[in-house]
Amino acid sequence: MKTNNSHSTAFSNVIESESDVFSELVELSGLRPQSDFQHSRLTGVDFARSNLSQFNFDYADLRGAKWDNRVSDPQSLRYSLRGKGTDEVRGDDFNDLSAKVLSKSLWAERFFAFRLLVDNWGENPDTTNVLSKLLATNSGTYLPLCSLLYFTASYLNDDEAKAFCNVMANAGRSQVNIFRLEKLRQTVRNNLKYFESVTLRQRYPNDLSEKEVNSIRRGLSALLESTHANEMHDT
Amino acid sequence: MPELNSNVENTDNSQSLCELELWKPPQGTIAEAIPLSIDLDFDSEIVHFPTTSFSVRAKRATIQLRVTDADIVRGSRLGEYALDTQMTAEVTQSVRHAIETEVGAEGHIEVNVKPNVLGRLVATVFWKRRRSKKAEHDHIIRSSLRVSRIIPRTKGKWVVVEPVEPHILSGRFIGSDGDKEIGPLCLLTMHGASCLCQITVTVNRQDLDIKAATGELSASRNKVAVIEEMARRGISANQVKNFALPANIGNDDIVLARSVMGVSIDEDE
Repeated sequence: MKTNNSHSTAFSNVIESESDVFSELVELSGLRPQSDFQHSRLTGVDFARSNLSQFNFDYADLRGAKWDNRVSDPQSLRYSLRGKGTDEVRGDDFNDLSAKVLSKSLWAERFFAFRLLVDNWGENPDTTNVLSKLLATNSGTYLPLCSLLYFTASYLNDDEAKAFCNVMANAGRSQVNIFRLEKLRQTVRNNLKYFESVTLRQRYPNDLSEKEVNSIRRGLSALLESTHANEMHDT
Repeated sequence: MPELNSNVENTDNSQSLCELELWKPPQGTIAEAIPLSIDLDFDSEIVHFPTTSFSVRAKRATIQLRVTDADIVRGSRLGEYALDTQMTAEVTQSVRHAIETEVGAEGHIEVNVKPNVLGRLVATVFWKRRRSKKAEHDHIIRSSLRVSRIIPRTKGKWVVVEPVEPHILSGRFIGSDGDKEIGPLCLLTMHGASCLCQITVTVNRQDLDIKAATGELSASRNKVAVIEEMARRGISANQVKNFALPANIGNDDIVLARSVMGVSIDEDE
């Protein structure tokens, strides 16, 4: 494949540079921070000492990136992947997956789409927005509870609760799930209580904020209240 | 019977990531069922620089078909559930066989594909007073379980993927491997006396897998990430210069190969 001299020089500059600061390497490369890093794959990159104020990371793959000691936050990182998952997805799959979550498909299919979002995009305003929309719609019994539990469990690294959600979704419409429902509700209550007591620590720019947490709490309270009201009505 | 004249132009590639070859319709093709037969191959490309070299491979590609003055025959698109791909090839072969064995004979040739009462698709080729019938077998249920490499999309597009890890496109995906044939891409029916079709193979820049060609690049993850992004942008810039991008292909898409075919009916024959 043909390459031109300006590219070759820029390559040498980057490889031979004594600095390993990401923003400085980009400056040497001649790439444009405002436009050349949307949709890009930057897994495992270390942003220490980088001035990211000009960078647009929309839809970029930033899984496993190290954000400590950065000089400034990026200009934008909408729908960028910042989760712990390793699935073969890319930034613009967010739109398809969120559409699937809010569709009228089977609840298990919608849950697995949501799980892919949380695993790979992380818990942040983008995924909270999808969760809020899901809670606002009448999505049955299992889907809101499992999605909410998975979201909080993922934030709290609670693998047991995540596995429980997967087991329920794998059972799908099986009647076995009816016997697990009370345990699910109790786990959600416990998890949220714990979730409320933790101190939020920013893991990456534009991480989950107090505003999103409050939105989730409101959604959950409404969900548990409606469930309680239905149970009272039944008795 | 009028003969078809065709003119095929396969654009010469400056890279070896992808090779597309569009073939002229076989002798005896009729204007109602023109097969678009292509060979589509993928391989790696080495990008050389003074201090290092990279191996570039595609993970997902898109085939885009644009047709002027012709329609795609319903159910003939490669990979469609409605019709087994083998079926399309059999129909084409039957038409060819009919014409080859009936040289000089006058007769009307008609190709008809429709579902029978059991819901299976049956293609019927009529010529002279004989009839050749090829029935689809129980492929429909099994095909739903098969993981396809060629997935038809809307607006004349097909997505090419490798379902097996590491999801790298390598080898022949469409065409004949000397044993069995995958294709044709679809069948066309002409509106009038001439038609034009263009096949473009594109890859999204982010679907390029870029790795140091000889072992691991002895540089930090930060340097590798920046260099990979430079390589992606460099390939894109080269390709945009070499090929005119159709209006509906986005800026992140790189044109890997393009072929054009014009077909006209020779009324004098």
